[in-house]
Amino acid sequence: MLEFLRSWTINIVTLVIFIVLLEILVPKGKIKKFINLVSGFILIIAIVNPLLGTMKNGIELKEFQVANSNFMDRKEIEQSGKILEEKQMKQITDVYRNKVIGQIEEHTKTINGIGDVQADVIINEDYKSQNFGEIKRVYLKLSMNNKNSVVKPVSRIEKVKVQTGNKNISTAIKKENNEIKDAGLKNKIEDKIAKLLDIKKENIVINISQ
Amino acid sequence: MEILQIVGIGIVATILIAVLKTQRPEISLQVSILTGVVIFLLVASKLSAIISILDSYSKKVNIDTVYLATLLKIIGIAYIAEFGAEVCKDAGEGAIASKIELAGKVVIVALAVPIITSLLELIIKIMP
Repeated sequence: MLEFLRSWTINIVTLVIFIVLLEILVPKGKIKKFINLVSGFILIIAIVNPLLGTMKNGIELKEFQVANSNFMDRKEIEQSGKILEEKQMKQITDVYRNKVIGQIEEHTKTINGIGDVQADVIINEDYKSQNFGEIKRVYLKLSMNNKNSVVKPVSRIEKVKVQTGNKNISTAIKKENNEIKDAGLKNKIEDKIAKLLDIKKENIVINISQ
Repeated sequence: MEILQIVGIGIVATILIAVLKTQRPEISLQVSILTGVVIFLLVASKLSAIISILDSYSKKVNIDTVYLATLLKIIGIAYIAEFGAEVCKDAGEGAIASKIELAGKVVIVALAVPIITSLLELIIKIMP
């Protein structure tokens, strides 16, 4: 008992002296309060823990330290792992998206009469969902190949009403012919892309650049 | 007499900064940071000696080294954070300085978590 009291007193006194010395070294700022708090906690533990230890009820501080720092490390790693996973999935999605765009452009260019193609796709980027990577919408911007073109992009023409001659009639017929051919090409492109990507035709938006 | 060296460096740097502040404020800031680092390095070796002595005494009297190691880590973090914050304040960046202080506090609390939890555990054990 006497030995215990001796070591307990020495412990407390040394710790108090150390804390006082260290507090002199602490820079005076807003952080000083935190250091005072922590050193106070340490002092309380140093006073109470040996007393409880005699009743075989004390705690092993080292075990606590290891357990707590392990827990915090694990949480930190989990957090950074999540961030990494998100980054990785974003990169994968970007690569996939670019590949799909490339395929669409390549396949559309093979259709007769199409010059240049610019494609864009909207895909399901939520990697937690079951439909991750599903193509939701396809946008195509086409420019027609003028040399071999069957269809030229034509802006809508108002009916020209000229009293004399048959000019007005011929213009109207021309316009109708263009629309029919345009729709045919559109169908062809839509069919090809729908088959290629397994999506519905209504999700394909085609624009012709003038 | 290291204190004379340190005070000399400090006074020379202050005069330089006072002269440069009106003409070239950006250089005066660099001089101030450099002086801070030099003074800190001059003192660092003595500080490490003090800490190693304290550490050896703690081993002699059988104090749990967990307490002291944590306390020393906290003081080191406080020093570094305060140093960074003061440099930022000198440069007129009070917002960044307060962010550095916040970061220092967060790291200190993270280090103090085992101490706080062990204290709570003790309290729980004391309660019947």
